[in-house]
Amino acid sequence: MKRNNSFTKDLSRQQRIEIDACTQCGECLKCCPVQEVTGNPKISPPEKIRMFREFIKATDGLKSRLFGQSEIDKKLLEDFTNAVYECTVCGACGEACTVGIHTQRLWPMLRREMVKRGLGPIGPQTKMQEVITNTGNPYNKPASERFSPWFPEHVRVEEKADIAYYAGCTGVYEAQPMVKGDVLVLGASGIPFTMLPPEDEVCCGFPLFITGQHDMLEGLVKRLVDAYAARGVKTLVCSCPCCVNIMARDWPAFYGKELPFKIRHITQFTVDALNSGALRFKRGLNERLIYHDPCYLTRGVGVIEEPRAVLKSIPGVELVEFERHGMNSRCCGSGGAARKVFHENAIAMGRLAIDEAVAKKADRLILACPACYAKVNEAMADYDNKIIITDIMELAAGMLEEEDR
Amino acid sequence: MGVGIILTFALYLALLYLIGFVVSRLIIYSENSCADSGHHSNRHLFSFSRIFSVLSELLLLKRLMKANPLLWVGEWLFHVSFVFVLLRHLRYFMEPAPAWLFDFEVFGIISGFILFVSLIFILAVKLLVERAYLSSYNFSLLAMLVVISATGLLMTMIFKTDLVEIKFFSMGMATFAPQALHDSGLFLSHFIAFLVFVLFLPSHIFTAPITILEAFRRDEELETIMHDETK
Repeated sequence: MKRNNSFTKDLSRQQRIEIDACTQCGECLKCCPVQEVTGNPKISPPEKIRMFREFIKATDGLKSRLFGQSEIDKKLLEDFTNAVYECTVCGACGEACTVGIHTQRLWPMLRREMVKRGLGPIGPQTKMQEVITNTGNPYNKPASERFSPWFPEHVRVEEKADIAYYAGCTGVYEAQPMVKGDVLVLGASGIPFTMLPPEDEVCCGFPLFITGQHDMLEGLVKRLVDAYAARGVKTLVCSCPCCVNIMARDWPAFYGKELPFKIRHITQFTVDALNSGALRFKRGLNERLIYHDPCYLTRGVGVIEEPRAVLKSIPGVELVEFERHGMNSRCCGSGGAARKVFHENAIAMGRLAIDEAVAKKADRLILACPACYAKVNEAMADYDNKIIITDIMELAAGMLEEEDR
Repeated sequence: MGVGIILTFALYLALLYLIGFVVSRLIIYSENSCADSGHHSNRHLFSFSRIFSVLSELLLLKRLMKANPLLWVGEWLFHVSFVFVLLRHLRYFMEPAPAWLFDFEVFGIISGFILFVSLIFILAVKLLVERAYLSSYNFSLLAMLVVISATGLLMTMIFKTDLVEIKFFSMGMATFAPQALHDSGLFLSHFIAFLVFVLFLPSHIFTAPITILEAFRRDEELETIMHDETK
């Protein structure tokens, strides 16, 4: 029997097994940020899996193999599409999953299935491929504005170097204090680094990957990897957790082989520079800081200690933790490219972070992700609870000597 | 003879359905699939401590222990006692029954009690304590298991069944020679509930051990994605 509508064809074997492994226990609901702000179990992780199982049953089950595929309920497809795109893909459900389903990877793949069927992506995400093709970034901004508005004039960028810095689209267009901080710290370390020119530093592919639009990924990745390889790069440093995530986890697959360089987060570079003495924080800060772990940095690639090490190395700092931190951190609302589609959810999640930071009497909320930075700042506008929001590298750069800032 | 034949063929049909389900799943898993593009380290650590960790992860349901210790107590007792109760049922399908099964008798009965209590405990936790999410499928499964367990216990402790007749009936099923059955409604309820359970058998019974082991490996590899591997 010919099956041309399979829902499993583009999933890995492990993902097919994972879909069958969900016990519908509901433990994941307790840590799902979307559940926290919507209280709607119809868009919960086990419901998404239950719906997807119905699709598999209709197109790949025993009955469909013997007697042909059956029609899939359109309403169910729409409900599933909405549920899988309302998700922030933060992966907290996978961390809590009692059978270990890797949801941070599964949801984007299920989104891809909806893209194949013309049901996804949704809202502004639908223009993403076209916009990236035209401008190189998902924000529809000209390459000429990529670095010039924020790049510090005194920082020297080499033509070729062992270390390269990738600023990332969200950082350069929506969280400039963060990328400026990155570059100031790189410069102050005295370690030579290179960068691609603005027209060549195109999107890393993460927003396309996470929304299930994979057609352009191979081209983007090859273009970037080859450009860095041509500059003799051995280590590519980046501060955006989303970029870091796709670079470390998926670039090798889209590039077709192992990358010719390592991927490191800017806080890893900073810790190494502090340890080697290349960098020193000359100023102190007598404040109580609370650090928010970005989902793609912790559950995504396991960078948990280094940001804390950076903060603790600032004289006078007292570091407090969110109730949910490290591998169990709670999404700030920006994940999964859902922040511009399900704006109210994202704002509500951002306010949960603000509320807890204020309740813990922190002087400053420290973020380490440009998307978090943009959304949590937006969430604080017109909100009663207020706190100073600072990116970790913005803060680190502020601790440097005057001439380095 | 009529009821016995009907039940025997009902069991065959249920088992055929189960085999069909498993085969269709194996086909789905074995078909060409996309490579999982996630990071894989080169780590191969076969040490006793690692084997111990893997086994304890699986046998102690450690992920559930971490997620919900209260529910874990009920679920772990349920899974273990369910295995023991199933083992005790082997005596109905083996002639002669091996000696160890007789030695196992008391332990099997105790497991039957634990099974029932653990199911009630799980239901109570889900309905009274958690109350966040209970799928209708999950609830039906639990209810079915409560019926199977309760009827089994009643037959063992209070309304004793004719074991000889049950054994004949079971051996008849096992040897494709259906036998008559004149037993109580209690046994019928027990058996029919079991048949329904087979039809709705949760797929995680086959797949969860694989995903738990994969999650264990993934947790280990997470350390190596952005950090140099230390062997």
